[in-house]
Amino acid sequence: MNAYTKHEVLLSAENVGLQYGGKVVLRDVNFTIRDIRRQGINQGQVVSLIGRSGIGKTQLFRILSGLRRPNTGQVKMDEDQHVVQPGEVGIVPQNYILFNHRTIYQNLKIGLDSAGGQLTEAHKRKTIEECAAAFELSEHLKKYPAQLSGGQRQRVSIIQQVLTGNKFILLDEPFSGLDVLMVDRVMQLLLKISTLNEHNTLIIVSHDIENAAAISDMVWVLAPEAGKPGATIVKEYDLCEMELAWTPNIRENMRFVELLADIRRHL
Amino acid sequence: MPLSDVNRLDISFTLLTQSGHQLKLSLLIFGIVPFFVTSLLSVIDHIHAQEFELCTTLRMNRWKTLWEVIIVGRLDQVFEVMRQNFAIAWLMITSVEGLSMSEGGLGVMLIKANKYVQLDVVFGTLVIIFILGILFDYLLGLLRHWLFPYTKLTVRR
Repeated sequence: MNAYTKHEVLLSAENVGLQYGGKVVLRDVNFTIRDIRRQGINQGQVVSLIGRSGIGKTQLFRILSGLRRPNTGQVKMDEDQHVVQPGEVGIVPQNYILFNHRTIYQNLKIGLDSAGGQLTEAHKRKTIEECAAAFELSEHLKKYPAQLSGGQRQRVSIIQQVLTGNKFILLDEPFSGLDVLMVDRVMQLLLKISTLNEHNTLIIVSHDIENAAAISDMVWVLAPEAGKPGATIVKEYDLCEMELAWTPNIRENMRFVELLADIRRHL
Repeated sequence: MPLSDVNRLDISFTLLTQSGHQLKLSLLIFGIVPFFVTSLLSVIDHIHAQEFELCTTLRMNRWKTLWEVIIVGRLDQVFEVMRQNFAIAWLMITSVEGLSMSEGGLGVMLIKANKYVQLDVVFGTLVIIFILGILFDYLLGLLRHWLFPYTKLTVRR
């Protein structure tokens, strides 16, 4: 049994709705993410937003990051629950956008420069080198993004956001286009990022139910409701409560297999 | 005899400029600017919106975003546009020298040789124009790869 307690609200959405030229895309999206605490570990939060393609996941992703204003409702963050502003939530897009004219070191340094603070150049170099070593990127620091594989670019993109100091990071389809081994490595990386800081919160937007649920402590299912326009969160699974979070080899657990089947039914 | 459009253009530029050199340069610039501006606008138009969103999530202000994405980020492509426009300018130079003959040049040589049916000179001049054009293009290509090493990683060999 993984003992845990839930504390203050870190991110919440109240009646978020979005319309596109008269067509309702999202309707009454409500959720809260609370700070999870566990003894002896910086336990961050990992939430998965599961939904079929074209259901409005990417639009909700943009709303959560503050890049798009919803037509109704608000997304609030941090302990003071202020309305989310662009730049307060990091994003890792599906195609891992980086500055192609900058080396990996320079790309990471842009993230660190954006964090503010009073670090000296030597201190910044040390931080980047430590981070690169921790995430197996040391030998690539002098390379350009075009010289890296998709998985390596994804790692750089995630670490760039971490160095920016963003506690909330949204990942759009992080397992898409990766082979089985790379998916496992990405999952390990995400778990590592989530435990770097108590308030680190990763929101994974994906249609890969199994991999997303395997590392999450909460799963939201975004789907339409019968007779109502637009998509909303139709089901919320608290994996901590179900004792399915933070468990090694979770895929072999029968209850987890049943959970996946149940999620599929709600899609 | 009615004036042609080219004559009108030539007369306008002659009145606006003070020397044959200025006239030649002005005509060249006049001919190049539409190609250059439309190509530059196309480069900017093709920037992915997610690059600007990345800058937002990295908390860059508008000036930093402009610098990083449009100015420094597209400098290699601007250089490529300049390289292509140089090729257009190189072709245009013979016509411009034909309009402004006081300064001489390859265009003047070509027109005079053509006028006196010196086809060997015409052919020789065309070969020189061709070789110099290829050479300049090659040198600009080398310069682009030297200045922007990441370029050769993103273009098809």
